[in-house]
Amino acid sequence: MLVLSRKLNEKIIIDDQIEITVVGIENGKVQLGIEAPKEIEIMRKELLEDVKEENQKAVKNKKLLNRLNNIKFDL
Amino acid sequence: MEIMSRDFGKIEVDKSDIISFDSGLPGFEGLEDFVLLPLAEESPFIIMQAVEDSDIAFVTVEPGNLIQNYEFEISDKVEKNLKIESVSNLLILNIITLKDKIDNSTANLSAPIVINLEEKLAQQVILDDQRYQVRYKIFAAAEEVAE
Repeated sequence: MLVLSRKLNEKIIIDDQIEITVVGIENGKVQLGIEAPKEIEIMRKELLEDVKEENQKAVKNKKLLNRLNNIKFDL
Repeated sequence: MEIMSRDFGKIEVDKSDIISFDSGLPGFEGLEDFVLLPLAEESPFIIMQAVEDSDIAFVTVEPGNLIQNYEFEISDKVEKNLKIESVSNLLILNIITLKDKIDNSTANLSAPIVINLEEKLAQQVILDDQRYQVRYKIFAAAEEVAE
């Protein structure tokens, strides 16, 4: 892993096309500005992990299925 | 073709009913082919059954049943992956996680399943949107009739 240190408003560029700027630093939180081509997907890693875990929980529901029989939503 | 489903036993499905997740779903990267099976007539719930693994089936529902004005932008990448030409061919589903205390069941509004019914291509899209939670309590608003 490459470790770089950057100050407020300093940038790094990845592969000529992704530009990351440190836009804020306070109370142990770093705020990053990311400019990247539209086809690059960017997300917080913990969100992806969370979705993975939730998907795995979601398939363990067979015994509860019959509880859904009478449910209708009226939105 | 005949497949084994978790909730309905052996069922006959047409090859053209199979929708493909080319990159799988997070946590189930190896499973690409699924079929959509209504839980029951008139039920809002749709079972998304893996073709290759009878044990894997998700309970899903269209988001319109859960909240109003659910909206998100489909990225160029997803549009390309799913060969989307018109939004009218899209079906959006959200995965439900059932809990022993059924009132605590949740829907994943943060990661909708986008299906292009025309091309039979699908992807679970992850929205980094504060408004939509991974665990949204589905019965907070709806009235529960069961039991």
